[in-house]
Amino acid sequence: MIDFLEANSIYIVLVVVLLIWTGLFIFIFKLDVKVSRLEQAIMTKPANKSDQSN
Amino acid sequence: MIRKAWFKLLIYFWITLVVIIAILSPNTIGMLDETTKNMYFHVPMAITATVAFFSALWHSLQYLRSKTIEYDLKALSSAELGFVFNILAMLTGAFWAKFMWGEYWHWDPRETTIFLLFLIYSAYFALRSAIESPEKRGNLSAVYNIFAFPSVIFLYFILPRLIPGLHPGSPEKDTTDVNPSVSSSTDPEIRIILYLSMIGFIALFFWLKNLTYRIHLLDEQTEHYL
Repeated sequence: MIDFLEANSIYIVLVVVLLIWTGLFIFIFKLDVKVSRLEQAIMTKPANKSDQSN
Repeated sequence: MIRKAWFKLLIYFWITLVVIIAILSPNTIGMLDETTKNMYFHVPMAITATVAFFSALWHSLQYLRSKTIEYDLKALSSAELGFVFNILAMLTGAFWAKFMWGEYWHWDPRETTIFLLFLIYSAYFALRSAIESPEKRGNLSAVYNIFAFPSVIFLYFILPRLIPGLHPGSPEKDTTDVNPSVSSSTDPEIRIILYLSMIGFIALFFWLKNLTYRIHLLDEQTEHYL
């Protein structure tokens, strides 16, 4: 494995780019899940009090 | 569809595949040499920005017809992401230009037009932040957005093809060889990778737009709690 990467350095670039993309993807995916959870929290919250006051 | 997990995972595997093919592909176009690979990432940024600005135009029209805040927020999310993709195209282009042309920035027609787009959409955000009333902000920024979009077509696709410049795809006086661009005569393998990449990034845009829109909507809804 190490020998192969030493001989073909473009694969090192490939691994680096894929690691960055995977990391960013996981981050965005988790952000999406968190937003969904917030949406749920707001929807299930009983009667929006300040709606009447406004 | 955009909110389904399989769609997001498909984007992941699609772009992963594009990265693998793009980096390992041995194809080159003329003097671009190894930086031909840049084309698989730099060009889709500009194309995705175009799609994003079109999406902003679309939602602005929807807003003016219905006057519902949701469309205003969708237009805003699209314009924000288009702005980000536009900046990414600028930065990747500038870095590449340093090694190909010798300077990060020297006002080639392409560089000038992309900078103008940057200014035009900066003005959109400035306009939005200057207006307190949501209805007035929605109306004015939607109209601005509709007038901003034709400039995307002129500045991305028309002007750089009319004025001689260094950027690939610009008209060149004497030869056709030094300044390649993607056309029907380009190696089909290169075109396929480029198109796959465009599709991947456009899909990524729609996911990010959905996410940004939902965050803006939450922001709007929670304002009542504050």
